[in-house]
Parts: sequence; C-alpha cells; structure tokens
Amino acid sequence: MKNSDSENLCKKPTYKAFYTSYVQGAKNFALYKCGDEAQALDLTQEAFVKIWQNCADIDLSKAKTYLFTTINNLFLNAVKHHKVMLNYEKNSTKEDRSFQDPEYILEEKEFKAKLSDAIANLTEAQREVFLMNRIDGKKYREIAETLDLSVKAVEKRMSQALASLREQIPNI
Amino acid sequence: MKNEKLILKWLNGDLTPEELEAFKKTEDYKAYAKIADFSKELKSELLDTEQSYQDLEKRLQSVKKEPKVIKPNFGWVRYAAAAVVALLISTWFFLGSDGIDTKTGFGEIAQTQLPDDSEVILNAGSSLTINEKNWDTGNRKVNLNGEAFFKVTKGKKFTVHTSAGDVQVLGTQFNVKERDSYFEVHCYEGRVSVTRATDSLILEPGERYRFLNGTGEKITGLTDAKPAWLDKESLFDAVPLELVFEEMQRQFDIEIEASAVDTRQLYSGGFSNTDLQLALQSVCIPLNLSYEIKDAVVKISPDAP
Repeated sequence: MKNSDSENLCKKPTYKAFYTSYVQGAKNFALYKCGDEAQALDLTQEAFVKIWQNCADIDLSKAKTYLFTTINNLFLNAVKHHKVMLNYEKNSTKEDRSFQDPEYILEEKEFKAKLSDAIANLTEAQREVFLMNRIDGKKYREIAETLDLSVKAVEKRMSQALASLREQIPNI
Repeated sequence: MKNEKLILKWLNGDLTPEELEAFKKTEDYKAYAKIADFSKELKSELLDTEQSYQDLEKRLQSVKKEPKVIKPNFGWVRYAAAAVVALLISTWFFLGSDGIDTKTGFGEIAQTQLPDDSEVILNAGSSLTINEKNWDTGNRKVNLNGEAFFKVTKGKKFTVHTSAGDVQVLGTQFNVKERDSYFEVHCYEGRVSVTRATDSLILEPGERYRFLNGTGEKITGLTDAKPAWLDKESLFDAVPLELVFEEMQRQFDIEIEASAVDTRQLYSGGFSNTDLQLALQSVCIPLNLSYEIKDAVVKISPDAP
C-alpha cells in the first residue's frame, strides 16, 4: 500500500519522529526477549533499518506494530538464546530506606534473586507482556495494540505470568 | 488463580478505591504486591535517543533500499536478461571475493580501518583479511592470523575468525592473539564471546581467555586499558619460553637459537619491542641465561655456573 499523504516514513523528519517516539519502548521489548542490552539495541536498530528500507510500503499507522513484529522476527532468527536475567535498579527507593534490620535486607535480597530467576523462567510471551506492564507501565490495551494481540490475550498472558511467578516463589 | 479479574484490573491500575480496599484485605494481596513492586525495579537502560539515532543514520547510509523486482512482460527476453544478470553476478563474485588484506612483517605495526569505521591495529607478523562485499549484507567477519587489537564500532555482530577459534562481539575493544599453539583473547571494553571448537564463553571487560597446551583458562580482574604491544612492549604471564622467543623473532626480525635451553619453562615479564639488547636482557637475566648476537642470529645458552 502506498502512502500519498504528507506523513510518509520515507521523509526523514517523519522517520526521525517515529524513531524518537518508539525506540526506547522497542529496545525494552527486545531486552525482555534477549536479556542483553547491547543485543537489544542492535535488534532494535536493525528493525529501524528494515523500516527505512521498506518505508514506501509501510503505513504510518501500522508502523509501530511492524516495528515490534520485526524485532520479534529478528530475535527468533538470532542464533543463540540464553537465560534472560535482568538486573535491578541500583539506587531503588526500597534500598534507600535506612534503619532496616539486616535480616530484612537479606530477605529482600533473597526475594529479588528468586524473582528475577522466576521471571527468567517465564515463557517469552509471558515475560514480555509482564515486563512491559511492570517496567514500562503500559496498559493492557497499549500492549495489545503494540504487539497486534487482543486485550484478552494480553490479560491471559499476564495472569499466566503471575500464576507462574507465584508458584515458583511459594512462601512470600 | 483466585481473584483473577481483580488482580488483572489492579495491575492495569483500573481498580476503584473501594475495590482496592477490598483487594488489600484478600490473603494473597501481600504476595502479589511484592511480586508487582519488585519486578518494577528491574532495570532497562535509558537510551540517549539522539545519539542512537546518529548511530542509526550511519547504518542507514551503508544500506540500500530493497531493490524492486521488475518483471518484464515479454516472452523470452525475460530469460535472456536473467541469464545475463546471473553471469554478471557470478563474475563480480569471483572478482570481488578477494577482500582486503593487511599484512605486517617483522617488527611492524599497522593500523587499518574497516568499512564500518572500526579500527584494527595489527602486531608484527600478522595478517588480516576481510571480505568487503559481504559487509553490505551485514556480515562483519574478518580472518586473523596473528595478533591484533580491535576497536569495533557499535552495530551488527562482528566476528574475528582465527584458526584456533572465533571471537564475536557487538561493539567493544579487545585483543586477539593466535600463534600456532597459543590462542588468547583479552576484552578491554564491552562484551566478547569466544568460541573454540565446541566451547564458548563470554568475556567481560578485564577478563582474558587463554588456550595453551590443550587447556583453556579464564583470568579475571585485569586492569590494563590496552595491550602492552601498543606501547611497543611485549608482556607475558606464565608463557612457555619458546613462545616468548617466537614473539621476539617477530618483533626484531632475528633468529633465535635456543636448543641448549629448556624452552618449555614458563616466563612472566616483558621486553621492549624497540631495543634488542634490552629485550634479551629482560628475558635472559631472570632465567639465568646468556646470549650472544651474531649478525641476525641470537644464540641463547645457560649461564656458566
């Protein structure tokens, strides 16, 4: 389908605006899939290259979905998949609380380790939806639109993810 | 899952204050709240979008728009055209597959730039080939024989192929040394993946992998910012003497005759790549050896007792 209107991805300003709005979210999405910042950025940049190459054929309204689908495909084609372990924010508000007894701090540390391990054990579909909601603070509707899924499907993945995390960390 | 609807609404921030109050009273609330809160703290790096866009621009310049397929609508001409194209492509392939060569002789260091602006510095007696044609298709791969220091610009996967193993990176600085029975990769920045036969491992900055005499070992906690040979010095850390002498031969274009000495003993230390006398002293004195220079031949023998 050809775009004839002025909002065309082949025009650099439009392309750049599109890039600026979505690159962070796209990179995060890639990160939730592959667990490596450098690889995530690389996949994202490559997807943007593909969009540039096909700019005449991509409708701007579909470009966001195209971007995420492309990242997904590029990821599937990447050679090695390893366990996706993310790090915690170093200066998180939780750790800032002083006057905590050491036992509590230790417990918290243990819990965090268990949690990131459990998240790594989620299926890719569950993890990306769960983290897009948690880290990126996206609503189900937004995730559904981005990944070209129904809201029902997103909700299903969310509750599967939660159930799995709950099961993997039994005594919270 | 109990209260599934409520929990989902809660995570989506859609609960009314009353619903939230009720939800907080359920027995599972604490557990879910903990999962939900702590998972929020997982980190994703914030991008500098302007910078990453500049990087992307560079990448865009090297790619062409996907070629449009033109379908001529008249009979046999189509096949003739296809045949000509196939012929052209294969000729191009033959002519173009030589790639670029950089080679250093004895005592030389050479610096070269790859098509993506990555930098490579070759140590003495080494060679590097790249296949430039393949770079367009995103295949950043170079063949290395010897030792080189790489500063790779961020971008697609970059592979250094040597006869001893493959080294793979995204954007980083690292040194690869491959000499006969010796294979060493030292990561200075970024992350490097090393594959040797069926083994593969990841190196972080300050880590070094070495394969010698059939065993591989990883050393961590190194603090040097770049290889010593860039400052015209050769450094060794428990390396068999014969490899040290081999390196000296490469640096000074000399021949070392050391049959009277046990060259399997290990040497730790370094030598200057610019002053042969000094270099020989720094290796021989600590090991109680003496040397004699005759023309381009250096004879090493044990110290007389």
